[in-house]
Amino acid sequence: MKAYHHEGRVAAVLLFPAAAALFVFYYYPIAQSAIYSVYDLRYTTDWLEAPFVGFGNYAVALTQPEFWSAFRFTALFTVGAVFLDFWIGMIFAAATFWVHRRMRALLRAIIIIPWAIPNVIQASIWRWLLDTDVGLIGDLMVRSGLVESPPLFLSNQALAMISVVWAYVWKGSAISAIFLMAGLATVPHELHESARIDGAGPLRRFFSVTFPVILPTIFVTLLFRTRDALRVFDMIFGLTQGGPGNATETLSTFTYKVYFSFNRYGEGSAYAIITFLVIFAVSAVYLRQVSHRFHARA
Amino acid sequence: MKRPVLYLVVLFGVASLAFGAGSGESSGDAEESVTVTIGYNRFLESSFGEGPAPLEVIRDEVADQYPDINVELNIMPDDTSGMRDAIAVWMNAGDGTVDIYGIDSPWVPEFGRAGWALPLNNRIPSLSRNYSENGLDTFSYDGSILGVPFWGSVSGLYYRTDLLEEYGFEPPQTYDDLIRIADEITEDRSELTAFTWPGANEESLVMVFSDFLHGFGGSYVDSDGAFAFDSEEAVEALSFMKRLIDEGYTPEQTTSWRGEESRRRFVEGNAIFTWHNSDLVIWLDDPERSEIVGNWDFITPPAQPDGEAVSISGGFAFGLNPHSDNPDAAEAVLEVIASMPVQKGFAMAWGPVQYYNGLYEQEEVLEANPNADRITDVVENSISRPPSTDYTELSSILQEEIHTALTGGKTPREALEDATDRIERMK
Repeated sequence: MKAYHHEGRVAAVLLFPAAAALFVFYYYPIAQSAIYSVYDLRYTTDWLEAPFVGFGNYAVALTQPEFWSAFRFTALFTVGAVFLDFWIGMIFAAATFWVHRRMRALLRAIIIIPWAIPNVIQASIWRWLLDTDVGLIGDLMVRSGLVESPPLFLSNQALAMISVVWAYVWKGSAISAIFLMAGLATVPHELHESARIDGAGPLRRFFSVTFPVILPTIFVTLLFRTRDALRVFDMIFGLTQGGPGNATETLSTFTYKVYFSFNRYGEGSAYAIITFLVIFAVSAVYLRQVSHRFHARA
Repeated sequence: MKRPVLYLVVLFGVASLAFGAGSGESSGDAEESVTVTIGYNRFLESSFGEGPAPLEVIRDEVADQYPDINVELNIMPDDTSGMRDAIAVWMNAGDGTVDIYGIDSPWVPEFGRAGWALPLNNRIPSLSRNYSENGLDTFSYDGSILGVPFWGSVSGLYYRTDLLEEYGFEPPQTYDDLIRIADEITEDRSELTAFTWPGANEESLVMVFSDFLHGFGGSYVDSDGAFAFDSEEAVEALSFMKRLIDEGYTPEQTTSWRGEESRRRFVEGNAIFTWHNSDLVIWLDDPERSEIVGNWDFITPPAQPDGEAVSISGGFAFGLNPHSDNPDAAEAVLEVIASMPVQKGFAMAWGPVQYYNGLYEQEEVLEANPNADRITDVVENSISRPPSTDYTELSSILQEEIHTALTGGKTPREALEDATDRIERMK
C-alpha cells in the first residue's frame, strides 16, 4: 500500500510538467477564447472593459456566407484529403511488408521523409513546384506535350482546390503510413497462412484478415488525420492564403483572418470555438467507435 | 519518499540559475548601450541606386549623434499584409519587440483609431517645418502625425517609347487607345505581351482596380458617401480587367503575379505596357538590370472619355511603438531618421519620392535621380486608396472578390455586389 502511494506521487510529479504545459498551451487559450467570444472586442482584448454580447458573436458568425463557404471547403478538403491520405498511406505501409527485408528500411526512410519536413517549408516547396512561371510540374507537363502552357495550379479555382489537397496528402499519407505500419506489424502471420491454405487470395486476405485485426489502428489513424485536416492552416496559408478569391479558405485560415487581420477578437474567438466544437464532435464520434470496437473485442 | 520532489526543486533551481545568469549578462550590456529595433522588410538593407543602403545611413548617423544607441533591424515579411498582421499582434499584446516600425499609408486611419502609433507632433516638432504638408497629411490621423515619411510612391503606366514611336502612336489617353496600340503592335510582333499588371490576391490588386475604377468613371463612394464598388462604372472597369485576360492582352498567369513577376516581361523588353509603382524609374535605365534603357516612359494610367485619369499613391513612414521598452532612445533614432542626411540617404538609395522639403533641389540627389521629373505629373494626379478605419478588412474583401471575378468564380457584377454587401456588413 505504501509502495502504491509512493508510485502515485512519483507519477504525479512526473506528470506535472506535461499537465502544466497542457493547461498553459491548450486549456487556457480555449478558456480565453470562450471568454473573448462573448464580448464585443475590436482592436483590443481588454474584455473587462468591453461590452458583453452573449452569443451575439456566434449569431453573427453563423449567418456569414463567408463562414459557410469556408466550412464547406473544409468539409470537402477533409473528406478528400483523409480518403487519399488513408489509402495511399495503407499502400505505402503494406508495401513495406511486401518488399524484401533489405529494401524495407530504405522504403520506410523514404516514406518518413515528407513527415519530417515542416508544413511551412512544404508549402513553400509546393508553391515553387506549382508556380506557373518557374514551376517544375508545369514545365514538365509542357515538355512532355501534355499541355501547351503550364496550368494555373494556384490561381484556377478548381485546380487550386486539387493542388492544396494533393500537397497536404503528400505529407499526410506518410503520417498515415507510419500509424498503419505499426498496426500491420501486429497481424499474426499464422492467420494469413491459414487463410492462404483455405484458398483466400491477397485481396480477400487483406479485407477478411488484416483489416479486422487493424481496425482499431485504422480508427486512430482516421481520428488523427481527420482532426488535422479539419484544422489545417499552415499548408493552405503558405500555398494559397485561401485563394484564389476565397476558394481554398478553411475554417482555420478564415478564423485567423477575422482575428488577426481584421482585429475582430470577439468574433474571431467565436469562429475559433465553433471550429473547436466541430473538431471535438467529429473526434467524439471516432473515439466512440474505437471504444466500441475495443469493448466488442474484450 | 520526498526524493522526486527534491529532484524537481533541484531541476527548477538549476534552470533558474541558468536563465538568471543569461539575463544578468544582457542587463549588463544594456547598462552600457541601448538597442533600438526597427521593424521593416529586408529592403532597408538594400540600395537600388547610387547611395548605400538606408539602414547603413541610419546606423552611421545614429552612431555620430548617439554613440550609446545601437540600431537593429527586425526583418519583417515583404508582403505588406504579413507585416501588418505581425505589427497588429505586437501592438495588441503590448509588446516592445520593435521600437520603431514601418506604417503603410492606408493603415494610418486604422492604426490611429487603435492607438498603435504614438503621435509625433510634440515629440519631433521639426516635422511640420521640414516636411511637405502632403507627405505629413498622408500619415496623420485626427490631426496627429503618426509617422516619419521615408518613402512614397505612385502607381502609373510604363510604356515602350521605341515601340510606340516605331508604329506611330502617341501615349494612350484612353483604354481604347491602349487596346488599339496593343492590337497593331502585337499583330506585327506576336512575341510581345500587350499589358502586364499584378493580379494576385494581394494589396496591389486594390491599387490596380482603383486605377481602372476611376478610369472608367467610377469612384470609391457615391454622392451619399456610401461605398460604390458595385456601380455600373465599377462593373465596367472590372469587366475590362477580365477582358484583358480573356482576350490575351494580359497573360492569364497575371492572377498569380505580384509586382515583381508582373514587371519582369516589361523590364526584359517583352511587353509594351506595364502597370507599376514609380519605384522602377530609378533603375530602368541601368543596363545591368534592364533591357529597355532609354526606351520607356512613365505616365498617369489612361482613362475613358467619361473617366478620370488617376494614379494611386502609397508609401511608408516610421512610427513609434507605444509599448517600446526604450521610448527615449527610439524617439532619438526617429528624430535622426527624420533629418536631412537620412532622408537624403533614402533618396539616393531608393529614389523618388521623399517628402523632405528641398531634397530635390540638391545636385547630388538630382544626379542620383535623373528620372525624378518623369513622375511629377503622375504625382499631381494621385489619389489615395479607399479611406477607411477598417482598411485592412475592406482591402481584403476587395482583393478576394476581385480575384474571384478574375479567376472565373463569379461574374464581375456578382463579385462587386458581394464586395459592397460585405463592406456594408463590416460596420
